[in-house]
Amino acid sequence: MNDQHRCDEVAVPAGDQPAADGEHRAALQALVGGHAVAPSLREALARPSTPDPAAGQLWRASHGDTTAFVLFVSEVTDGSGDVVVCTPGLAPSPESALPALRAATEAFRSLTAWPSAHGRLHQRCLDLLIEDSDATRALGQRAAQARVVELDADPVDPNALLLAELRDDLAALQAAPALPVARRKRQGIRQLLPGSASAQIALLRGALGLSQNDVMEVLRGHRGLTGEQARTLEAAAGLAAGSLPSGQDLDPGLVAELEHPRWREPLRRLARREGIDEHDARLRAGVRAYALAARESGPSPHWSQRLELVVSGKQ
Amino acid sequence: MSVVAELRELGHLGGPATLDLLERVWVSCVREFYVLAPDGWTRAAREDLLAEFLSLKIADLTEAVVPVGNEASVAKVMKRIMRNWLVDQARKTDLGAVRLRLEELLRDGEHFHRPVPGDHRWALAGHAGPSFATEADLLEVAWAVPGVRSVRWRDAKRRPPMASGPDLVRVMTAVLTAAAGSVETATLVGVFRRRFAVVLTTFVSLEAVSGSGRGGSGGSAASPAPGALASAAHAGDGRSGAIRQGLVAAPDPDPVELAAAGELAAAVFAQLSDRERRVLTIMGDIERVQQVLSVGRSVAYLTVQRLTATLAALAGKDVDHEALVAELVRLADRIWPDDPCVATSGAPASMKPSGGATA
Repeated sequence: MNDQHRCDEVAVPAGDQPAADGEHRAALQALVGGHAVAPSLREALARPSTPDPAAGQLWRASHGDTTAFVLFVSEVTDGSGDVVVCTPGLAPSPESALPALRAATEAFRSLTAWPSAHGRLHQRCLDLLIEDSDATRALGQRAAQARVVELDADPVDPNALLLAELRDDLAALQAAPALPVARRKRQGIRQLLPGSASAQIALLRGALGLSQNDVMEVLRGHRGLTGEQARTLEAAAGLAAGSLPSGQDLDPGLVAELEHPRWREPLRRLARREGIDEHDARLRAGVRAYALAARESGPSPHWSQRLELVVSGKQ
Repeated sequence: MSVVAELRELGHLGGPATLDLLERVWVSCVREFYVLAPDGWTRAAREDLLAEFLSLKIADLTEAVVPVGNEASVAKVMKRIMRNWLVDQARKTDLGAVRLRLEELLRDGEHFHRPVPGDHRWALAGHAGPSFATEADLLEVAWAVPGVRSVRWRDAKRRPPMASGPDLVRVMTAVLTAAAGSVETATLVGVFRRRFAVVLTTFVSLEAVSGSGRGGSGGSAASPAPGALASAAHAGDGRSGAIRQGLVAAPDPDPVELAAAGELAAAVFAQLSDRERRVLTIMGDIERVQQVLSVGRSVAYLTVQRLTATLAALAGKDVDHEALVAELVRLADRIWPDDPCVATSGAPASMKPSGGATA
């Protein structure tokens, strides 16, 4: 996660505070107060909608301190789709040669799609649907076919810095950690870790501080890793998050439900209530829902019902 | 009420917390753009320009900011909109300044003339009819003039001259020779602005040392001439690739060439900002650049590319770049000795130079 916009970005020089006098403030209010956003945008923000993501939809996405508006330019499969970053109200410089597509939509007078800030994004970092209309679908189709440039095409292009920032925003969103998924056919740790047997032993001892005996137990599959151990080992071995099995691995159906945008706000409330971060809240909710289902007999559990109970604090 | 809550409730930027944030972001944005405040950034100057900005951009700013869900991102978006607008305003002053300089050059040059007195077209003596060359054609000719070095000042109050007077005359002569006819002043301005785009960063204080992607913003769009070595960076580009390589690998130049490069390196180094000098020591390590400037990977990469282009522009084309790079890095290492370019320093380094060495 990059922290490229820390608080000191907007620090005011010592002895140089913005004017606080009534006249100046009244003038500012007169300038800004009369311009409200479109009713459809206010509606989208006041009554958040979180349907299944699909091509042509404009979503707000966030992870940590990064927020971006992303337009899906492909269908979403297994929770992921191709997106292009968009900027409401921020149009390309007329002297820029970087490809950018502007459109007026129901929510925005001016929305710019930046085809060169594109990538695959998972729905776990989506917040709410901003707009799904003919205008956004048309913009998505144009963006899907638009020319893409690499940043080094012209580093002094007037929009080069903006494009770099949008790409970094997208990278920060893509880095949102996934929940660990239990695989049907579990591979042993030995098959998943890189290197020779002796290298794997050294890796486990060094990264996790385990004794030789414990390391051998893990490698033989006689002992599992905790979720934290699995994540630490993944980082040390350069593996993707969620590659290694752990005792916290969740049912794939549960994970798909948990990572749907409709659970974003309830999980944030759970996180605030329990004083943990959003990813831990999501994991904790999953473990509790899984444990709840395990105590019940009968047909396959409805994960959404279990999660309702968990996030509301009733379980 | 928080900024986010105000925006959600009001749907506009008129809430007190939002206005406070807007003003703080504005103050931090404008201070880099000294060309927009010839008498300095007084409170009145800031407020006047803020009023002008809001009168033109309030609808865009509102649309950009209201739907953002957290305060840190609100500040970031405000800053982007403001910075974009300020860059455009500064570029307009660049246009004016370049035009003034070129008109002065053309008026004073003995072999330049206006075929039609009072007209806005200029030609080489002996040519009268209009030229059919395009701006792109003339830009290519401008790039091809050998031995031209861009020039910048470190003085935040002085607009950079693009290049020395004699070099500008040589470029103008080559352009008008190739034109074989009269050319509109506006076309000549376009050619020179793009030819010297890398150093026309007039609105960026060369003393700026803060990170987060600020600083070093290009003054105008530039199309690198075909095959031009001054462009920042295709990996296979001879000039910029070699400059970057020279900074990554431990350079081991010939002592004689090194001595010759020393004077040029000092001249180039004197024109670099503190931030650029800092990045010079770590250009080969993108992750380190990210860490020191607190930016993402793409912004770090762009920063390195811009610096590469600046070094190439300031050094000129016909230079032994390996020796030059070695000397530049040695000069920078004296200021930031904890980050020698050939080793990865484990200790985090600040942007503050050691020993107060500033030009």
